[in-house]
Amino acid sequence: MILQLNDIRKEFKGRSNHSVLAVDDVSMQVEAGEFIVVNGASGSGKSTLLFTMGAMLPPTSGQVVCDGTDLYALSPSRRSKMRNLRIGFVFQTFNLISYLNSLENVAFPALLAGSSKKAAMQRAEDLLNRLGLGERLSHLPVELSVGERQRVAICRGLVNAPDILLADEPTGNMDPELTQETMELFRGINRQGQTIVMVTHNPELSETGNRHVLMEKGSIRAERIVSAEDKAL
Amino acid sequence: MRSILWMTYRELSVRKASFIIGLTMCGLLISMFVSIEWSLRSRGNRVQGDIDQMGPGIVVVPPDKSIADLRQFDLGSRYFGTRELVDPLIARLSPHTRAVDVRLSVRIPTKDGKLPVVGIDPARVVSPHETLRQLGKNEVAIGRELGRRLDKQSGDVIRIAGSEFSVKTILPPAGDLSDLAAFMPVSRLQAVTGKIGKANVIRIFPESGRDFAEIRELLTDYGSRLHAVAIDRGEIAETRIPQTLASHRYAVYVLLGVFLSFSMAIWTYLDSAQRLIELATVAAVGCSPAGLVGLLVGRSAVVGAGGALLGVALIGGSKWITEGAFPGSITDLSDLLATALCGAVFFSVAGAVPVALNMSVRNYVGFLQN
Repeated sequence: MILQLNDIRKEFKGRSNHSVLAVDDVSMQVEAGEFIVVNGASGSGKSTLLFTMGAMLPPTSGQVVCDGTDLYALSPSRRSKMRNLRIGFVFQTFNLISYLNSLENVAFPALLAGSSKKAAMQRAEDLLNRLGLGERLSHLPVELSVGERQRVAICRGLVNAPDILLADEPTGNMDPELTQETMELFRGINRQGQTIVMVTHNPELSETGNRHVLMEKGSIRAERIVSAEDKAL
Repeated sequence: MRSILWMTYRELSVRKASFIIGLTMCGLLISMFVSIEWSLRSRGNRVQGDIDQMGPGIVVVPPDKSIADLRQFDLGSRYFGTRELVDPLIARLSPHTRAVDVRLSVRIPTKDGKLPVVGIDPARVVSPHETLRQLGKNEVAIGRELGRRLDKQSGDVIRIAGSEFSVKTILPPAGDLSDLAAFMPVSRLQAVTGKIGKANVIRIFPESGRDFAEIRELLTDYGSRLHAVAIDRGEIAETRIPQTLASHRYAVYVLLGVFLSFSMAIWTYLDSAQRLIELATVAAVGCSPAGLVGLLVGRSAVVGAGGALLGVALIGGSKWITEGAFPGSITDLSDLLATALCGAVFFSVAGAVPVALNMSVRNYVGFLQN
C-alpha cells in the first residue's frame, strides 16, 4: 500500500465565521500500481482531497499515512522532504517556473532532493526525451505549447521517481484531442508501474484508470474497479 | 542550499525587470549614503584639522630627551637621519596618520645668546600660522616674544649662523613654543648648521580614533633610536569631539540602514506578491520553509550587493567626471566600498527576513487550486 487516508475531514473557516465542509469523513487506500480517477462536480471536494493526500493541506481531522508515517505529524521541513521525494504533483495550470527552461523545470525537484546538477539534468533529459520533448529542452515555458507544458509538468512530477503521482485536473484547459493524448500518456506511465491519482470533473475520463471514485458534497458517493470491458465501452 | 543559490542565480539572470527595479532603488540609497559619508568625512577632517592646530597627538624626540627638553630647545646632539629613519617611518605611519611634521630644532649661538631656531618643511608643516607655509629660502618667521626680545619687526634682517635672513613676519602670540623661536625652511637650517639630512623632532597627528598605543606599536622597530611621547590635547579635543563626530556618523548610518531595510522589505513583499503561484509551486515540489526563506533573502542579498556597487560607482563616477578624481585616497574608496557592501547586504537581508518568514509559512494551496 502506498497511501492510506483515515477518516479525513477538512473544514474551511471563512472570515465571516461561516465554515465550509469540503471533505467529510473520507477513508481510502491507494495500492501500488493503481491508477485512480477521482471524479465529481465542481465543489465536491476532490481537489481538496488531492491536496490533502499530497501533504500540502492539513486535514481538520484524520490521518494521511504514507509508508507507516502520518504525513501531518511530521515537521513542515520533513513533510516538504517527503513531498519532494515520495509524491509527484501535476497541476491543472502546469505551474512551470517562468524563468527556468524545460530541462531546469524538470530537474529542480531533483536538485532540491540533493542530487548533483549533472545527475539531475541527466534524469530530467531522459524523462523529457521519453515524453517526446527532446527538442524543447532549452525552451522557456512561454515558448511551449499547452500540451508540451503539460508534459514538462508531468516529467517534473516524475523526476524523483515518486511513490505516487497526483494530478489535479490535468486536462482541465485542453481540447478533446489533447485530452486524449494526455490520458494516453498517463496510461503509459501507469503501465510502467507508476501509481497515479487523478482528479477530474470530466465524467468521460472516469474509465481512464483502473479505479473510479465518485465524490459528492465532500464524501465518496461511489467507488468501483474499472474493468477492461468498461474501458472498451 | 545549492539548489536555492542556483534558483536565485537563474531567476536574477532571466527576470531582469524586477532585479533592475530592486537594484536601482538600492543603488540610489547607497549613492545617497556615499554622498553623505563623503561629506561627513570631509567635515571630520576639517574639524580634526582644527584640533591639530593645537599641536600633535604624539611627539618623537631623540631617545634620551623629553618634552621638557623640547620646550627648552635642548635636544642635544643626537639626530634622526632623514633617509634611514624619518622617510621609512613616515611611510609606515601614513595609513594611520593625518599628518607627520618633521622638524630640526637647534639653539644657535649669537651675540645676544643662544637663539632657538626651528627648521620646518613649509609643504608639510602643521601650524595655525599660515605664514610658515609660505616661507622662502632666506626668510624667517619670528615668535612674538623672541621678536620683542631681539627688537625685530617684519622686513628687518637677522643674522643666523653667519647668514642673513629677512624677517617675513612676527607670529601672533600662540602661548606656546612658537612665541620663543625663529622658524625657517628645514633645508636651509640644515645647510647653515651643517646638519644635512638631519632632524630631531617628529610631530605625529594620528587619524581620529587612533590612540597612542597603536601608533607606538608601529614605532617598536625604531625603539632604541627614538622616544615617542603622547601629548594630551585635552579631553574635548581627544575624546569629546571625535565621539560627537562618530555618533553623528552612526546616526546617519542607522537612519539610512533602516530606510534601506524598509525599502527592501517593500520590494521583497511586492515582488513576492506578484509571484505567489510560483512560490507555491516551489513549496509544492518540496522546497522547505527554510528553503523559501533562503530563496527570498538570497535575492535580496544579491540586490543589496549589486546596489552597493552601483551606488558607489554612481557617486564615484560622477565625482571622477566633475572633479577629475575620487575624494580621498584609493584606500578610502575601498574602505567605503567595503562599508557600503557589508551595510547594504546586512540591511537588505534584515528587511527581507520578516517578509520571507511570512511568505514561508503561508498556506499556498488556495493559489494552487485556483
